[in-house]
Amino acid sequence: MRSIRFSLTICFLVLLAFSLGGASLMAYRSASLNLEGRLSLQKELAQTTYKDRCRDEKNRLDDALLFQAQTLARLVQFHIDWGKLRFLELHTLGLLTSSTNSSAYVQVPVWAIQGTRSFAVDLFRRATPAIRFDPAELLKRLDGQVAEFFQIDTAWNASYTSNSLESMTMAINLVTFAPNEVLHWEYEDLELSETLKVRRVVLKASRFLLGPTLPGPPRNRNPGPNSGTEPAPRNNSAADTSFRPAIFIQCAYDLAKRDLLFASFAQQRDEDILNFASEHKKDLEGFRAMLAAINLFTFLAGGGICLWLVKIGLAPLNLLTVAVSRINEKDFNLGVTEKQLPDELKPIATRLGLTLDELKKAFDREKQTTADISHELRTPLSAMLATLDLALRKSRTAEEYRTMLVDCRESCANMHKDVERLLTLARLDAGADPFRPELFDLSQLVSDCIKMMNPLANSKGIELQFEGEPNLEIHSDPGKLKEILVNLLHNAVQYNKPSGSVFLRLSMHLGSIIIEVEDNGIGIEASKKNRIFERFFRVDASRSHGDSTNCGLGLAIVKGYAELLEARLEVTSELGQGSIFKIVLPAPLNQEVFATTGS
Amino acid sequence: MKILLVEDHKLLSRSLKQALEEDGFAVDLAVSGDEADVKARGASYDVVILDLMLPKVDGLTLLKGWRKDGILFYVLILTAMGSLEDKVLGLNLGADDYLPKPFELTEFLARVRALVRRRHQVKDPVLRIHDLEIDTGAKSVRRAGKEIYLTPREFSLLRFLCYHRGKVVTRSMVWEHLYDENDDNTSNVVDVYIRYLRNKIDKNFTPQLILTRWGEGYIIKGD
Repeated sequence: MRSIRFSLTICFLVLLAFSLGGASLMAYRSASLNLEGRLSLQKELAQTTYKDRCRDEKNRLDDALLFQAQTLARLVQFHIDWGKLRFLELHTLGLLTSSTNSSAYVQVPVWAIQGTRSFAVDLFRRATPAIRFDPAELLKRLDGQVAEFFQIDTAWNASYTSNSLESMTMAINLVTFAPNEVLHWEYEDLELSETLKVRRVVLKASRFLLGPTLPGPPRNRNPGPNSGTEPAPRNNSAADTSFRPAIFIQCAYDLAKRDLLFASFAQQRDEDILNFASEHKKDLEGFRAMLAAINLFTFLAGGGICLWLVKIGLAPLNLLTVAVSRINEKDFNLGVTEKQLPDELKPIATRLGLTLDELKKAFDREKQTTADISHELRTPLSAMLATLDLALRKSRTAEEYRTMLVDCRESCANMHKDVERLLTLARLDAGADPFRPELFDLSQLVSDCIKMMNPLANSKGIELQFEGEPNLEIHSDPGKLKEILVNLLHNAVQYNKPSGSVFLRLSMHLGSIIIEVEDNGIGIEASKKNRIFERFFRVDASRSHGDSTNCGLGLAIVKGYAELLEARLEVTSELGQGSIFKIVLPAPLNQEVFATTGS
Repeated sequence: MKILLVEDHKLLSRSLKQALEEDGFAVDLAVSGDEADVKARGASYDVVILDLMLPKVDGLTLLKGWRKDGILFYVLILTAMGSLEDKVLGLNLGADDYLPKPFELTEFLARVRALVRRRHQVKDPVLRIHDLEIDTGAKSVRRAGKEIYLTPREFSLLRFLCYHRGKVVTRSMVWEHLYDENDDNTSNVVDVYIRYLRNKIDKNFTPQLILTRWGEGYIIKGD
């Protein structure tokens, strides 16, 4: 498994990358949508602006046309064409005089008006001469803004066309002009030729007077150019409408020129749109770069923070690792206290501490055992070596040699016993000494043990007594039980007072067989009672108490064998009063125990 | 040359005592820690041979106590615990030598003799006074090139006198250092042994090396 630090960091970074990627994607999408919207708005605006400009331009041009038409209407003058008048002279007497008077043309209208009204009008119609006006005045009035084309028509067939029109004429659709309207105008696009299209205004204006002297409606009733306000068509009273002659003034400009202007507007618009698009692209690129920078920074910062967090998080683990790595066979202390560790590690530390304590105890026990074994074996060995060396140092008497040899033999025998006991314990530890049950007479075994111990007891003046039922057959391991009893009896004799007594009792209780070894010897201190079954433990730690065969292994073997026989071992003892060792053999589960009582 | 042997194994202590005595040392025995403590503080010993695993009080505790109280005798630790740590621990606690069991008797005796020499600040194992040569290792004595045979007690008396050359040695000093706790204190036993010694060392030689200071004791010449 990889290191936790590595895994956590990788996981965190992957998570961070996913989150950043998701957030960036969403941000980019929303931002690009916004920018997209802005772009389309800008495009729309450009389009609208273009349209507005076109419309404004068109209106301006239209207004200028109208203004020119109105100005023309004001400026236009008529003069009598004497030729026409002469043509009419035969029809009317009054006209006869005109030729005699140099200013007859003034008089004739006066005269004519004095005649029949309809006639007069008709006369004027026919006789009104050609149109004339002062172009300089026109230029002056219009600040030089003269439309390219203009044409003036009258109801009496007088007509004037600007030079620019050449041979072309602009036709008027009179239907659109109501006869009773005094002032009226219409805008229209007109195709003059295949190559020339124009925008024109047709202004209809009523003219009552063809000269300054002519009586008629007051002049102020004429719609004049009114700067700032668009002249509105105005109706006069219907009374004299049928008499009103009208002139039609047409002004026009070349549509191609306007289209050229519009095209420049369109070009402007397209340029704007292109600018907007490139701006949009630039903005998007900028946004992408910013996102990338933010992501990179966040990722690096996140990575750094993650490493730091992981370090902080793993610090207790490191602490524990260091503490554990410091443990060695000389120092079993876990170098950290639980308070220094987080809750998650406390169970480990606790368990480890307990295990280490156990290990230390086991280690100490092992060390102690080794030391004990060394001592128990090396000391008699040294003694023999020293004795033999001493014997060989110089020539001695036969008696001296004999004493030394006897000493050595005794030491050897004791060592043999110790070695046997150590081997017994080693076999027990290794489980190499199995439980070998058989049916045997426990009473017989007990009396054998007593017989065996009698010499030693007698030598100390101690009486061995047996109480209990004879002929008790049980199913158990006689060899081990014998070892137990011999050891217990030996101790009871060994640690007895001179001329004391030892009782061995055999009884049955609830199917269990109870063997008790009681002495009235020196007893065991309460504080040491729990330790008497430990290996090499001696109550008085002295070999001087009796012989040197006791090396503190007897009771350890008793305990080991009792466990093997599944027997319970109990000790009651009082210092100075004596001890009772009680072995409770388990109640047999089947009927393999044959207990016969009495004789 | 008195030695306290602290050892609870009967056969070992008996054999070592006999070996040391044959080497001319007076040996007291202690079989438990408390007994050893009492004896060590009660008499003046040159060397204490100390077992570590003792009944009642263990050897290292005893050693610590003695060193703390400024008792100056030399201590040879004799123990079954022969690991490096045990040796270092024992020496660090104030022992002068350390001999793990089992050991050779000759080595043991040589180490004891070395400790005794150190105790008397003598380097040469052969003590020379005038034309007298005492080889403490081989236990041989020569005067003017002639071998002289001495009993162990005579030898130890002579060695004691030589270790204290130029100084007056009182009878009680001799008694204290050459006789163990089991010997009977009879008033003239020292004088008797001095006489034996003079017969062997001074009788046919000049000058006389062992001199008597009336009312004080004996002295052996300093050069």
